[in-house]
Amino acid sequence: MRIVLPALLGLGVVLTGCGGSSSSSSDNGSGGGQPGATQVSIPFRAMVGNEPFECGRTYAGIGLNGGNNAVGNDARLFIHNVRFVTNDDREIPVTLDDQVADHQKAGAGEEGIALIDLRDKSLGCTGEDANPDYYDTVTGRADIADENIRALRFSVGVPEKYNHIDAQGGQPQIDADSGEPIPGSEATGPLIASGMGAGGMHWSWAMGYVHARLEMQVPASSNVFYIHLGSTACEGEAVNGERTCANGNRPDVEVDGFDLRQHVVRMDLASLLSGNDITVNQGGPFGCMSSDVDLDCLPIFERLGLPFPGGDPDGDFAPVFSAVDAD
Amino acid sequence: MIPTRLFLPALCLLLAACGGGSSTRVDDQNASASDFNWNMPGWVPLPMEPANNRITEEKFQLGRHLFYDTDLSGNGTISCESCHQQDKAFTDGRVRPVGATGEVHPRNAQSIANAAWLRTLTWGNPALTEIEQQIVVPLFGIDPVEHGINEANQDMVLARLQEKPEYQSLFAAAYPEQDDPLFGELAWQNIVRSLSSFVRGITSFRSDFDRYNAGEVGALSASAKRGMNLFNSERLECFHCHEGYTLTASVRDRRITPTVPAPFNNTGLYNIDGISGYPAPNTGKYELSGNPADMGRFRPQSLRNVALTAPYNHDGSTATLRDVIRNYAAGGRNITTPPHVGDGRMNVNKDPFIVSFTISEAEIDDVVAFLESLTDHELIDDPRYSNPWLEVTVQDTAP
Ligand code: HEC
Ligand code: HEC
Repeated sequence: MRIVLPALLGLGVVLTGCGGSSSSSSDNGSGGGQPGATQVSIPFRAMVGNEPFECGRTYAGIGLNGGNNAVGNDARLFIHNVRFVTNDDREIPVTLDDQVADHQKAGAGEEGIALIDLRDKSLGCTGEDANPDYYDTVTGRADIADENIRALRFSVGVPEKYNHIDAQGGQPQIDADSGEPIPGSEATGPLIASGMGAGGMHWSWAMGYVHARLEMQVPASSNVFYIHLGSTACEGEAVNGERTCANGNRPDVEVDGFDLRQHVVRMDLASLLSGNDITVNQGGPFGCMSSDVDLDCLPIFERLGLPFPGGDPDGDFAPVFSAVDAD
Repeated sequence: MIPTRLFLPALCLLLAACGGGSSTRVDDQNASASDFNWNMPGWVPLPMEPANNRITEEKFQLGRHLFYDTDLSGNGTISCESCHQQDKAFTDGRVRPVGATGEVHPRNAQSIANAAWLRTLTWGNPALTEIEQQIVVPLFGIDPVEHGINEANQDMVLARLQEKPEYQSLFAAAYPEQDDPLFGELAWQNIVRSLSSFVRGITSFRSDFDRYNAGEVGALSASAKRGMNLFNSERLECFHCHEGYTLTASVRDRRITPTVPAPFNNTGLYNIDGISGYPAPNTGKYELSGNPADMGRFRPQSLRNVALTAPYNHDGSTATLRDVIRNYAAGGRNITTPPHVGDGRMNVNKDPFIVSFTISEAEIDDVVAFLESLTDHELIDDPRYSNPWLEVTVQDTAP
């Protein structure tokens, strides 16, 4: 699906079928949402500092020690459990639509999952073709018409319930005791791994999804500094829906001050990499593939607010996700 | 029917015969009836197969062509065969293999014969319980890169296959229910499932040991018989982990649903820094579970055809069968030179069955003779498993 063109970004909030401000528009028309819920569109944008993320573009000053040159290589993430936070700290869930079957699984909480693909349509990320999977705006409905919203919250990644389903074959999981298929455990929408896993958002070795795949190439060595977030320390049979992971590695993000009418969600790879010397690999694969013994993950996990041995998940870092003006 | 005389008591050839609730016997429906040519003696119970990928001869033959096709890689340089060669019982003779882009795999290439009976695939991964799940790892994996197929080149790779006349009929025959199995949306799924069918269909039960078990008492030499008794003795303890008709405790078939977790053992190969470490990333079951008790635990290998699959162990770090036996006799491996210094004999996770024992050189000869008797000499040049593209070439150049 090619729904969102970069040009639409400029509009920031796209109020599908309503065209008013989000605070006044309630839905009477095109079906599905709960009555009274407002149609919302939440745009995401990958940036490197103040510059837009582009595949193949070189950015200076990335990382520790004065920084190094780095080239945009990948910027994708799953999100779920999208909700708004009111001034009096209540959470209002966003029910994602299923308008965009390949990118969104409809629902709220852990049922509502979107695959956001921020690799721009220039050359460099996927080779010869402009990226047909570009998808930057999450759409849904939320009861926010009469609310004062102070923040947006969402979790990065695929929720545990769906993390170990059969992404390749679309087989349901089978309950070990009854031998019956587990309802809802068949991969749908963004959870169907494209090209049997060549798509890169499924971690076949670990039988789980890649929650986020953020990559910068380091021209000096031609290595790719990988950030592949996935759940670790897992046990149990995936085929029986019994697999659980001690380290979910799904950051829960709050985008403070987010205002639907004027903001986009900025994901800043420069902030994310600000604690790493990207020319050095401190263990495991180049960069961080979520292993809790790979020291390259420590500063990255800190900046995502994730626990890591020896790290400080509550540390004070420039935010990776923030609200910026859509311009 | 399974002749009872096959089962030496000490071998516990049937899991169920080992007693003690390690498995549940289920109804034997279809355990030995199949239209597919499994190419094995009738006493071998049929392996499990997933409901969505029942084996057929047509899928097997398509998978065989794909297995030997270097076009099924990102840069057209390697095939499954590059690391799984028939003359070496589908291993590659190297300590550690190299993928399409030159990356060295951290582990030794495994034999894929009889993979259909394994409870988990690969050396130390407990999550891969189906061949279908395992095969996407070499095709699409990036750590390490093996076939090097990725999002950017997958259409090109597929296009190379779509151009070949052979695949038009092979895909159509394998997936008659699909409109366009080679060009349609399911093409990659079809590739993975037929490769799985080929792997599942590679069986190996024609060794001297099998002939001996079938009643040909002369099939084993005197030395191999002594070795077999040593192997099954409470002194060497080998049979606890390398048990049954597949010579590994990691086994399942259509008669038996195991109720205990799939086996993984630490055999005391490493003890880095004296804190029981194994060199990363080869930490075994621990790599995914993160549980310190799983450090260094690997799946017990099938020992069938083991004489053809040197070098040994998960990282190819043991050169010969004699060395493997010496490690066991020492109760583990004491490494005194860098980089992995440490006394594996003292590894806290070491399995209680890895006990040191005294063994003479002559007895080592006997155990090796027994392990050699597990070689299926027909496997390595069985035309059923050989490179089908070579047959075509020969025909083409014939006058
Ligand atoms: C670059 C070398 C390489 C290539 C190419 C390769 N493999 Fe492997 N194979 C290995 C290694 C190494 C292992 C052990 C993996 C591990 O433990 O992580 C393995 C393991 C396996 C296993 C598991 C066997 C067992 O005992 O659990 C199967 C099945 C398998 N490969 C099939 C294939 C198929 C089919 C292909 C082609 C699509 C293929 N391999 C391509 C090197 C390779
Ligand atoms: C506690 C279970 C256990 C016992 C007992 C045991 N093994 Fe093993 N064996 C394993 C495991 C696990 C591996 C793989 C270890 C690794 O590479 O880290 C293995 C590997 C091997 C290998 C190498 C196979 C290959 O493909 O590289 C051989 C040969 C072998 N064992 C023979 C024996 C013999 C002979 C004995 C008796 C002296 C024995 N084993 C006892 C579990 C066991």
